[in-house]
Amino acid sequence: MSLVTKLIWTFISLGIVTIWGLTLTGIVAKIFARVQGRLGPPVWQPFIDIIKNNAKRTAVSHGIMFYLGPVFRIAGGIGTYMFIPAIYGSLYFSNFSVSGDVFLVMYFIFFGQLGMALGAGEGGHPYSAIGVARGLAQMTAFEVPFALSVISLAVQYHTLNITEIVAAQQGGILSWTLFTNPLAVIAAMIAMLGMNMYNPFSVVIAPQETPIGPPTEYSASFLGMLATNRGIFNAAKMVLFMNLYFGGATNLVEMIVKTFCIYFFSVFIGVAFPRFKTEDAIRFFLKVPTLVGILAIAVFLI
Amino acid sequence: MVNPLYLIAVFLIGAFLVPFVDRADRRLSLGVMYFSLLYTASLSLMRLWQLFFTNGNETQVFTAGFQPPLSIALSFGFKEALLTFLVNLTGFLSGVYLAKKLGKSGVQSISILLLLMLGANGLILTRDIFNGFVFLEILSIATYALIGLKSKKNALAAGFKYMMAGGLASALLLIGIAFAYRYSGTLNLDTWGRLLIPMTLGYKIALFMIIMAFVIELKPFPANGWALDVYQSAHSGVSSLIASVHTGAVLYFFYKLLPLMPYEFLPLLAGTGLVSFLLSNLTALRQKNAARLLGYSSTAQTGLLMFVLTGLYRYNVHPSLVLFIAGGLFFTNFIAKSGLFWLAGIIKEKTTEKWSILRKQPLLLVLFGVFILALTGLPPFPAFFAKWEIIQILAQQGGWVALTAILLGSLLEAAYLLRWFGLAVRQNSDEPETASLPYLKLIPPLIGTILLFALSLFMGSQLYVLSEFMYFPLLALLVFSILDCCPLKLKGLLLVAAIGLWGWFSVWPRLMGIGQLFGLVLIGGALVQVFGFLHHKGREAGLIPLLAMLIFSLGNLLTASTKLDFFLTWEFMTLSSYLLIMRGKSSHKAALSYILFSLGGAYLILTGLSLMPPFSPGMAFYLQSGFHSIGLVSTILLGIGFLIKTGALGVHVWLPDAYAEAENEFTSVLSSVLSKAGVFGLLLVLVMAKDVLAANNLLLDALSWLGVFTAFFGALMAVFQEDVKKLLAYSSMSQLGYIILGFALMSHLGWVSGLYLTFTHLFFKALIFMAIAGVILRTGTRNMYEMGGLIKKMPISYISVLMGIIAVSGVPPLSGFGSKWFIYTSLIEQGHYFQAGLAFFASAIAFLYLYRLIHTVFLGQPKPSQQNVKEAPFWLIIPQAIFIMVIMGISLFPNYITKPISSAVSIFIEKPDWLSWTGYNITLNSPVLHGNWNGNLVMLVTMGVFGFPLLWLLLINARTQKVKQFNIVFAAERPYKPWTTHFAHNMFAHYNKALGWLITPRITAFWNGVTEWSHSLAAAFSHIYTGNGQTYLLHIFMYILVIFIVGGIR
Repeated sequence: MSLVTKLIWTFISLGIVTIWGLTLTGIVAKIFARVQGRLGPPVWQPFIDIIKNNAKRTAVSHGIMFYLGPVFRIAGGIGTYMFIPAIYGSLYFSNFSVSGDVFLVMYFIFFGQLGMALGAGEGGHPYSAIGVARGLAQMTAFEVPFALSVISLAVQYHTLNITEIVAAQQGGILSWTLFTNPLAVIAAMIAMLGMNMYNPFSVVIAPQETPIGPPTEYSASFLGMLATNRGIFNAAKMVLFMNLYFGGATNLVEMIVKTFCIYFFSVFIGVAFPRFKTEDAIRFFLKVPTLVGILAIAVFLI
Repeated sequence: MVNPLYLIAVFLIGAFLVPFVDRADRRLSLGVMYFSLLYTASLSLMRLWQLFFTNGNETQVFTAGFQPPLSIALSFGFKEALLTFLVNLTGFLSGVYLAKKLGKSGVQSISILLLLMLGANGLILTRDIFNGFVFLEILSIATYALIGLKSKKNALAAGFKYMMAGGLASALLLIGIAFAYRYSGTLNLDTWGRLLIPMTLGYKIALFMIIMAFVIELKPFPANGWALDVYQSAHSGVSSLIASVHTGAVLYFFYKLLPLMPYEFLPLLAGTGLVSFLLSNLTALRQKNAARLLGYSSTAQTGLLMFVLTGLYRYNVHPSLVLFIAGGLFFTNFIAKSGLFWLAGIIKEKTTEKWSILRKQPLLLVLFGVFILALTGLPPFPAFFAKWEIIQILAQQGGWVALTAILLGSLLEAAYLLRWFGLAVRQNSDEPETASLPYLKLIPPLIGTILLFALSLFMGSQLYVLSEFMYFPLLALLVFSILDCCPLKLKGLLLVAAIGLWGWFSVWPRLMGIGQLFGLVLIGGALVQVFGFLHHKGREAGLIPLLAMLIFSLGNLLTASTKLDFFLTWEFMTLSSYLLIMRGKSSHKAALSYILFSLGGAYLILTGLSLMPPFSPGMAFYLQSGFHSIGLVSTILLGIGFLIKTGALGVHVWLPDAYAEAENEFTSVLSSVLSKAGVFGLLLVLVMAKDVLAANNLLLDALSWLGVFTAFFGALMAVFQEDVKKLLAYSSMSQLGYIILGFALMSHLGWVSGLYLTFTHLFFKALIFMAIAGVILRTGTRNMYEMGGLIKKMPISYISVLMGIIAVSGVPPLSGFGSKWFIYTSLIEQGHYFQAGLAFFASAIAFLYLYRLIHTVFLGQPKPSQQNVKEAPFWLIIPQAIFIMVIMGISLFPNYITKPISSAVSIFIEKPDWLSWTGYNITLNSPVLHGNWNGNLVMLVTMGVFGFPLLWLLLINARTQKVKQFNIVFAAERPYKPWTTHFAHNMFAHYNKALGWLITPRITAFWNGVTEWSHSLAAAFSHIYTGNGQTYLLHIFMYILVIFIVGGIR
């Protein structure tokens, strides 16, 4: 495939995942509202928000790093997606996954977070920094079960290559990691709760109170970009989880259904539970989920 | 041949002449004294000349034309000539030093000084035991009298105590001689030595009494209270004479008596020497009085010499080697101790803490430093070579008890000497400037220093083929010290040029493989950072010479071939880095803990090296190491020694303080370059220990867990620091942990990951440290919460730190990700899954401290006091710019570094077939693990995904509305105080609540406990010195009795 074709397909792939990601965000908002007894926004509200934000006349900036923060963030989202093969066996949706393996994806996730944290930092708003500090602290904790789970996969499949991991899960639902290595999946799914930052791990964004969290100071097109990224990034993460634990997808429909279901796991928990304090969240991740992760490796050693 | 009788005659005549000429003029009598001393010194020198250049086998002279036993034999060989030369020269220097005092106190003192010299010379020359007794008496009586020179109460009391102790020894000696004569029938040592006298109890007791008399004169612990009082209260010039001339003469006679002694005495004497060495040094720990401290040190050194003379025979050591060792120790101690006493007299401050006034006197400070460092046994001084040989012998022949005692004692000695040095150099004090220096008193220590260096070169060249490894660092130090009056920038650029030329033309061609990689890190890395030092306004005395010495030593580490070269270079490196750390403003405690840990490590390395087979000169150490195999003990000792340098968990205690307190630019060198010397050493150990490690899996497992725990705890401790340099120090420790972890795998990929990180850590850590150096320079604080919002004032520094933290954290696309990828894949490939998990945790924690670093310093709310802060000086930007370019380069083209590393490693561990490079794609196709990383593609994709959104944003949002500070959406409140708005202090309080318990300082508490306990022990020992003369006499009695019983003399 020529580079131009590759780029065109990459854009198509990215467009699809963006639209799907934003729709997913809308659906989730709707579900949350219904559970809480509200009518809720329409499912396409995220699209409206993005268009509205991009159309704002004034955008306040606190400096160059502040300006670049959202760029870092969305680059992190897109890049993460770029390094994951979205659909198994499809050349068109393999993106740039030849660049590296699952570790590359895991570390590229940090790229956007770091850049955003710095941009928000230049805003000078203490709540931004507080949000970042909480987010990073929680991140270090949930990465532990997740990393253990990925290592367990490496032991199981003898590979870190995502495409090869998906390939190893082909041949029926029972070949999925979910059934071949349930412990790793449990550890990873709990870690995912932290990643998605719904309850009980939502203290990073703290959505109900005063606007705490990295995006506090961002408005207009900056906020639009951040909202776009949220769609892309969430979808990218779900695609990663789908590939690692749920057999991957051989077509777009399968991908959409699977990522929806995976995401729903954190939504279900999110609507049903209250919130952890940061230190409690850290303790939580480092106890049972980490132990499960260790067991997921240990079973292969015995 | 020069007749030794002249020596005695000159002093005798001088002593009698002085009272007469003194009637004419005091200056005349002083003249007679100086003439006698100089003349005798020159006679000895002439004798030395004869022995070296003309045929002078005949060494004995018999007085009065008879043969022994009727005549008294004097021997004037090489040893005697050298010793009398030093003794008489020191006597002369002491005379110069005491000139004013002698001039005032009357002709008797001049006469007595000459008599003291007569006694010393006689004791050295004579071969007759009774004659020895006579000279000892002359020496002792003259000494008591001179102690009284300072007519203060405590000096007189000390003199009296000395007289009692000396009287006891003399009585013992005389009775011993009388009894022994009954068995031998001769008093001539040579005749006596040839007799085969049956060892009956009576004869043994007689000999025991003789030797114990000299042992007592040598002031062994604990029967030396009287001597310590003397050192403390006598005039410093007299103390210097006692420590050098008196002790030297007595020790030499002790040595002459040894052939007469039964073999069973020797271990006994060696044991007393060792005990004295170890416990004197221990007791000295608590000592604050400078003169008494020197007294302890002096008795300790004498103890060590006693051990050398009596203990080494067991190990089949050639007598000439014993003499070499004893000579090395003796001369160092002789000159350095007198020098320190002289200085003590110039300073006129009793307690060591007051010596901070030396700071105002650079010349005195240098002299003081030379004497202290010589006593500590650091190169190039003779004691270094002596210790090297002792440890070689003891380690190879299994003298573990002695070896441990010597090294422990040396460490204790280093502790109190260097603490004193630290107090003098760096303690904060408001002492007024001292009055003008007494120049006359300066001459003796100055000449002593020159003599010390001359002896160093002489002794070094006598036994070893010393090459550039010895000379280059010293030469660099010397040349740049001479240039030290030039402006800093000129000196610095000259240094860059010198190192560049030397590195390129001399070192680089001799390196290959791993050597080239470390050459780039150690020499290249240091060279680039030299620019950073040049921003200082002042002349920065001492900086460039020490840096030159350090960098030359670092280079030599790579090309050194023999074990001695390697160790010598290692010690030069330690020494220069210690002195450079001392340049920090309040660094004396940090520097002390650095040097003590470094010396401890160096002693372990020394012992480990001693156990290894010899390396042949010519081929670099690291290349030869591939052909050698070392044992378990050696592996462990060397391993720990090098791990100390890298700051591994458990021995990391020195690291945070040393990094924090050193000068900002030097911290950068410490972290990015110097720690890599430890890495280099560790690598060599692993190369040589292949067989041992293959047999003991446990060792490698332990090492890998040590590495990962270092990484983890380093990162965790960094999270909670408020001091920016401490944060970075712990961060360095953490990164070094990953390197250790990689090496511990003993696999190709593991070593590649270790070396890759060795490289990249240099770039990003130097980058961050240099940028932070600029920040500290401009803001004047190290506390991060006192900064904030500096991004607008110091944008270049910000970019440096940003690049640095992206690289440290391992976020793609920068080169740091490579190190993460290598380490995880190599860990999983080798089945170290749990280490990989913990390493992942550690690297996630890194985000916390890195964010804290960049946010609290550069982002958030700026402080009003820092409104006018400027960008860092140009000179600090140079290394940053270079390192940024290098990081970008290797991030885009990682092959330039990964491929050479892999091929360098393959010399030691073969590259597996499943690891391959296709273009920029590194593919891992091991049977147990597949994976790949294409750094180049990642970089391009990242540029793409970053570029498009940026273009979009610029397109729709080119003109943003700029707002001022505090214009933020802040909960319906308008903040106006940056102190309450800048989120910085105790940033990760929640993390502390959750995981803070993990880092309660247990290890620091352990080391503090070690310090505390050794000091308490020292205090307990020092209680035996009551100051009461009767008690001291009792000590001596008990001491002799105990030794008699312990020795089981039957």
